[in-house]
Amino acid sequence: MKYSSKTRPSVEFKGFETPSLRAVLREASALALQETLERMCEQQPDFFGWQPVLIDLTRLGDVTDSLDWPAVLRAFRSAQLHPVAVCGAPESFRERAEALCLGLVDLPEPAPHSSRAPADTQVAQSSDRSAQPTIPPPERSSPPERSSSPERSAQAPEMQAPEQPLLDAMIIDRPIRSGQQIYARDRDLIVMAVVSPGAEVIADGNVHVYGSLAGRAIAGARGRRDARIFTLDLRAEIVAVAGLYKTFEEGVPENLRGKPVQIALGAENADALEIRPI
Amino acid sequence: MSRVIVVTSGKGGVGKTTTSANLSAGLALRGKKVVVIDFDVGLRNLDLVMGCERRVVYDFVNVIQGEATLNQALIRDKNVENLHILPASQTRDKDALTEAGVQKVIEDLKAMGFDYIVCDSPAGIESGAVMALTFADDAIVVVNPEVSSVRDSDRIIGIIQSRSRRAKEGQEPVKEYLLVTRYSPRRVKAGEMLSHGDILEILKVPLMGVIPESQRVLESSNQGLPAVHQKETDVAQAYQDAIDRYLGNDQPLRFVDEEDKGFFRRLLESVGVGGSSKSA
Repeated sequence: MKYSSKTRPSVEFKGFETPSLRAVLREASALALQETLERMCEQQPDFFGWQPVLIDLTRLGDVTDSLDWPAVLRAFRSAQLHPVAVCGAPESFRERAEALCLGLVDLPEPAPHSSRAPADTQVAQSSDRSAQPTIPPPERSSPPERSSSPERSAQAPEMQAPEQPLLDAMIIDRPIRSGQQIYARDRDLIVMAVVSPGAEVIADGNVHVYGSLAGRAIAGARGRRDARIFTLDLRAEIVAVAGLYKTFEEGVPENLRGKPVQIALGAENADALEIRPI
Repeated sequence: MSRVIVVTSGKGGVGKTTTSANLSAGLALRGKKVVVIDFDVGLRNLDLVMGCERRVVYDFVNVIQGEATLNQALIRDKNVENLHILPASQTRDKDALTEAGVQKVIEDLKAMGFDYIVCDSPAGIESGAVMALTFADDAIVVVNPEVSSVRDSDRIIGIIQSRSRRAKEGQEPVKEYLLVTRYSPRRVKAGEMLSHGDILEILKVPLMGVIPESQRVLESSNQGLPAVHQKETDVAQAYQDAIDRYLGNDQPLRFVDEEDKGFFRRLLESVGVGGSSKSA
């Protein structure tokens, strides 16, 4: 069929911001990667759920070429990760990347892959999250630029993990029963009922339980250090924020039992969880 | 319109089969057309409790595999009109139950005009238990007033909410009812057992009834006559109250407070004599 000026093109390119995963390789070993990914997916084979992943080679430098690339790609795919591109690759890797059908992405210095305006940037000390928009600004019409924005505030380098604005919260208004697990990816989780012993509630953002929290709660599951857990009645078995865990082997301390509390990384000591009454 | 009721618990030995037997007999005594199906393939008990173990010729698996018709397998209860039993297989294993096979049997039973199809679930959360709850409209969750039973019931409620047909097809959810069995007010008062209020607080499922611990239950299963037939006993009355509540007629909770009994009555009751209240 001849293409004429009257025919509309069958595809249009638009901008689309999506939270994405960046896999930073630490060793030049496909085998080590395979083992690590297998361990991560042991309990839940669909943990990654076919997310696109950007392979970050900045720490490997020149050994990039010696990697067994077919094995690396296989390892990602068997963990249900879809490798789409590499970043931080040396110039010499360009041809190889093309042959492997991997895109090439240039990362700005320093590393964060968000190019949002400074107003979106989370200030580490601030506890006021109302300024944080949950949807990317609508005026962005071109594909996202990965170059660094000159207006980026001086506070940005304090952030350790790449921060994405959170999507709308996931709201659940029925009890979470023993053995059930709820994971709110890239958002807050709000539970309007009890969380039974043996149940797990997990969010990349904050976890709010407007009822008794008797199971396990994990906030900031992928590294958000400012995430918190809020509950009206703490009876949890385990709580965790950004990878830091606390168990309650002797039960919840007397002064906090049965009260509304919030759990967050300590203001002074960021290596400890603090539980404060609300 | 037929209702499919699953009687389940998670934990074993809490009173599912006893409840299935008493529930079906109780509904049939009120004129409903009822069939009760034993889903415990390999470890069948329902026929014993219903007193028809010597009349089992064909079973549930025979029907699913086309070796017998429903009419050949269904057993008429000797004590109540309108009550039929579909026994489980003693010799096959649970993999013989397929979802398609079970669905067909339930549809055929509905076509036969049964008002209630009671599914007696096996213990656990594996395929047998899941098969029993898959087609349920109502679920009676049987729980003993002790922590491991409550935990297992919570688990099975979660499974009903995610793996029943109604849940998977986005229909109106399975209606849940809580039945507390083997309740001893004396032990609750002594702090050894959870109270029905505690259980309700943890499980948050509407309470259908509380059945007191009783010697009668053991005697009934020995005799193959569900306790509900012995009208003057506390167990029978508690089950009747529960059935009333299930049918929408609210009744005040009985048998949940410790009676002030005299020494002789307690002595007599401990050897299984006397079931109704009398002052010593």
